[in-house]
Amino acid sequence: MKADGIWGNIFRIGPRKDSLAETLQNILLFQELSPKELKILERLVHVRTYDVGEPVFVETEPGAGMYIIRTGRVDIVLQHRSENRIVLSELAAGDFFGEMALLGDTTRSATAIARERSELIGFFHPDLVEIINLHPSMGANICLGLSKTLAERLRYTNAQLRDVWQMRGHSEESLR
Amino acid sequence: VKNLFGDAPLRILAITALLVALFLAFLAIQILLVPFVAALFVVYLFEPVVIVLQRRGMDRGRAFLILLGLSFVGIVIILSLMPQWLRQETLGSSTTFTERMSHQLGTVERWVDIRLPMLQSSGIADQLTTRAAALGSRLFEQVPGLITSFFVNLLLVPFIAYFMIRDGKTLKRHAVKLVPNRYFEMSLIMFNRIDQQIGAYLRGRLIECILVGSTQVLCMVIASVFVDQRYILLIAAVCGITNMIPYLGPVMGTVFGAILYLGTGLPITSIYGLIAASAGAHLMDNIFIAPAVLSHNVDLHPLTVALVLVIGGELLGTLGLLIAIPVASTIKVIGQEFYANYQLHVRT
Repeated sequence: MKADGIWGNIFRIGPRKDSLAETLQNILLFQELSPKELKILERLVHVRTYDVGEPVFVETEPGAGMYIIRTGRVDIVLQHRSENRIVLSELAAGDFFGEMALLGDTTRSATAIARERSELIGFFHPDLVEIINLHPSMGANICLGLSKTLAERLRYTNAQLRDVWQMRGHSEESLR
Repeated sequence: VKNLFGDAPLRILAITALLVALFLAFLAIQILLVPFVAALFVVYLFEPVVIVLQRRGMDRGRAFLILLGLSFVGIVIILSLMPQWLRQETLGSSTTFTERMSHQLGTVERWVDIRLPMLQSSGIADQLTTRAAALGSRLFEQVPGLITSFFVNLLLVPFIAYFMIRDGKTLKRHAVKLVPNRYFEMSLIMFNRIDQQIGAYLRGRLIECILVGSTQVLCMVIASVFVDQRYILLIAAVCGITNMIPYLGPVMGTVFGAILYLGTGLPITSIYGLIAASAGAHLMDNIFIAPAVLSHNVDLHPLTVALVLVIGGELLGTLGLLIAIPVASTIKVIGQEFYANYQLHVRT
């Protein structure tokens, strides 16, 4: 039944925002998780809000984990303080970044800055360790998802490297 | 105010006010500090087993209650199975304790007079006798109060520990939620590092204390073959607890035992036996126990350890000595994180 004008106004709550579990389920890392495991994950993640231009993390700083964009947009940039800043990618709702820091003590390789007011879901190394300790099979599934993601990124980087080499005139043979 | 004094004095005023408020809060919570710290020890000791039970589907609160019950039953069984001669004996009244100790110290004084006459002129033996007797008598006057506070803490510690185990993680998450975005990840890393370091230190120390206490029992039982040894369990328990204090702990435990022996009129050979047993337990601790259980040490310089022990002792007495090292290592981790962050900002 289609809502009439009055009821539509009463029940209008703006654009529908996915529940935390729904957002998490769409992420490659957590696709193998059952609804029960997603509920556990929901209790462990941190939801943070960032204003326009606010850095989420800064290049060379120690990193603790990854972020998933629930709403808003985030830029990944290099040399953010200099005038020659390089924007590596522009991420939107449903994208995630910083997953390498989930593996442990690492420093951030780029800066993430909120392009517009954004709500991010943070998932961090201590939370992953806690999951591995308390729910080993769930931890294994997340680690599997993390490996898939990192392999995907590596494959993408390799393809880009190949393109660069080919553009410079190197043959396929020299690549091998 | 800003116009009159500028920005810096205002900041200094605010910091001073904050420090005063913290000091007042510290005084207010000092009464709760003993059960709180003891509960923290219990939480860190039980945590690995709670995690094992949690893995089997049990919630944290229930897992802790089961462990607490099992520990209580275990202690009762051990105490009931223990041979009669190992159990605590009655100490007698305060007057007889003091009289006996004065008598014993008199013997020591005469021995000192004969062998080291130069000490007589400074009246060290006299002072020692007076002070030790006063200490003994004060100790006995305080016994009822100490027993009352012991039983209050005995009820309070599991109660606080239960809520720390059950809601500790949620509270930590709420605390992290309040941190501004800029310091969010840094504080997460810091909390985690402090938790790991303090947890490893306290767990290691607690296991070491239990093993040192057991070794002390063993050494005193061996010593009892040659000389009279009493209150083995009580002295071993005190030695185990005081072992939490680096360097000073083993000496404090032995001194307690020696005072007890002096007061109960045991011959001086019993004290020699006690000292030999404590030395043996300390040696075993240094060679075998400590290297095995303290692999995750807090890595503080010996001079820093001595300094923080003096400060802790001055501020909070025995409790200060017990918590000085964990507090110092917490401050060290926080300092390291802030310094690393500052260096990063200077460089970039």
